[in-house]
Amino acid sequence: MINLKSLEDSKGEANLLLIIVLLGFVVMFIFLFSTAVLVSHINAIMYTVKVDMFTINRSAVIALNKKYERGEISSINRDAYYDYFKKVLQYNYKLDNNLEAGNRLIEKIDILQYEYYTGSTVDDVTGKAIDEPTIHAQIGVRVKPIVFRTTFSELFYFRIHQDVKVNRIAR
Amino acid sequence: MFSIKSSRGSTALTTPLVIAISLFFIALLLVFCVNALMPFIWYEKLSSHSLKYIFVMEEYGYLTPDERNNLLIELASSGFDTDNVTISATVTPIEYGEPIFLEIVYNYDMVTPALNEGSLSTTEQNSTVVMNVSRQSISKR
Repeated sequence: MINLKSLEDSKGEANLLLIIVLLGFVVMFIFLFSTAVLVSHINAIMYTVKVDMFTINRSAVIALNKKYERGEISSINRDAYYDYFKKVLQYNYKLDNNLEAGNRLIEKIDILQYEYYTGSTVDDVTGKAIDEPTIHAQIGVRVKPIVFRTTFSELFYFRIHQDVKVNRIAR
Repeated sequence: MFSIKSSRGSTALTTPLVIAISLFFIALLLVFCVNALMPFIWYEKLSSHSLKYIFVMEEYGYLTPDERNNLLIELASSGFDTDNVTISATVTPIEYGEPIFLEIVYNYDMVTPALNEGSLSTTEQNSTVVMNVSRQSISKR
């Protein structure tokens, strides 16, 4: 004989389970959607940083060339470009001498590589040959995670590489 | 005989309760996610606008009044409250190779719902997030 009571009970539990599963999917969807939006906007921010790196290095070339032509500096070398790059990076992202910004969205920048190649060499980031004067820069950008700062600190660290061909800068 | 009342009664009560509690937490989660994302979204917009206008400034050697107005119009069309926007920039023409700067500060009013103590009603908590985007380049005029 069919026990109708237990049938009703199990039907009710099944409905409840179904609702919980559906709500679980809604929560998961919100998390995934938020993550996708976050990643997309962080990518966009990193892209502006990359364009900014190009702008700074191009400015360095033009500014130092002008100083050289006016006799204000005797030579243009890697250190002169590096000092200009670091100075403008500090201004643009409100960084201190250790390139840290404290409680800001971009909280730290590391200059991982900064080279001025004048001869033939190979770019160790892209693996491509460099055969003209080039400023090669790679920075690490630490973005402040909104939640779980310690856990996500490594996930929110981005490396950006940018080469600037010195002779191609418009004068 | 069987009693259908007791079993139907328990699920009839629990199901809406579970849904209500879950929806409440989902709403909280949504608010949390939106609040966590908004600073990134506004900063990215501000950063893109500043980058565009530093390129414009390079051509003129400074931020012309017309371009300043265009910048404000673009910020407004992107959803910024222009009353909370402060623009500082090079305002006189600069010669080729000399530095120019642009700084946009936006005071973003973040509204967070908060539970009132001892009740299920909510109030709004306002906090201001100051976003500051600076760009330095050189004049190409």
